[in-house]
Amino acid sequence: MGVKYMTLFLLFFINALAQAAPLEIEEAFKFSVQDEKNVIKISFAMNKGYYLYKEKFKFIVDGEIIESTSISWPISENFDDPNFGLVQVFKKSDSLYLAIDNLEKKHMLTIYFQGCTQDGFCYIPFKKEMSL
Amino acid sequence: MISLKNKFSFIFFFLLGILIFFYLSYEKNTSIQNFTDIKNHDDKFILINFWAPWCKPCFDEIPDIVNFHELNEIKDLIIIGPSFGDKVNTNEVVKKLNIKYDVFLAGSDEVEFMEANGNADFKLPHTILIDPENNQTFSKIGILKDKDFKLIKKILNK
Repeated sequence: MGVKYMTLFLLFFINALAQAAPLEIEEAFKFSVQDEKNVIKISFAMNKGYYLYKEKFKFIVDGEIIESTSISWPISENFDDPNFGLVQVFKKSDSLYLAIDNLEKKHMLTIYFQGCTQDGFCYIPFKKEMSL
Repeated sequence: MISLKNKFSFIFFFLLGILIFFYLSYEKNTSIQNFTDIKNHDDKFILINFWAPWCKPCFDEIPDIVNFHELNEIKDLIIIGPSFGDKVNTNEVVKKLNIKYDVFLAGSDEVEFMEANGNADFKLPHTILIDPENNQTFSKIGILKDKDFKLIKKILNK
């Protein structure tokens, strides 16, 4: 009986070791914001194997949704899946730009995003608030 | 004319029928529709697979759980799949992937449970096995692989 428990414990332990601890979302996807002339530059950084869905991004500045026509996107990659169809993802750290008026005053920026890892899990859609 | 004896047997079988009906409906109602229902099954192992319809790895993993459920009709095991999606999309996936175990929408209890189990940013899928003594005997964030199913089976058979 003791041996059985030991084996179980060992298996559990090895199993735990074999999986690299998944990063917390704030660690997995890092955002930084910069005011530039009439635009807000948003940079996102992520580790290898992590990706963000383009269509899940939503930007709100002072309570107003930024239309996609006012967003300058970096190049995204195709991601084809039999269940989800063709979607666009960002697999590398990059930057995007939001065109907004009145950059002199202080702004509140909310970023909605959703990402996953290639080896097997997703983060629930997340909301990050930043002041400019 | 119906004899007294026949009348009694009629009443007897009628009552027996009602009893059987209630028993069968009770058996059907043992499905789990929220976390509180788990407490009614404290004599069993419960495998909880948190997932969401928008989660691709969850989609990839669920057919294996469905298979595991079908191939291992373990009397003492209940599998449940709380979903972090909306009702329409969740039901669609249940149909598409032919999920036979209980699936329901995750609520505040499930959120609290995940937070308490070290998954405060809700990475999905997250699978947890709870034994009849309410101990967590297995927990994994990410797709379950063959070795995980083997481990779960081993825990169930110990």
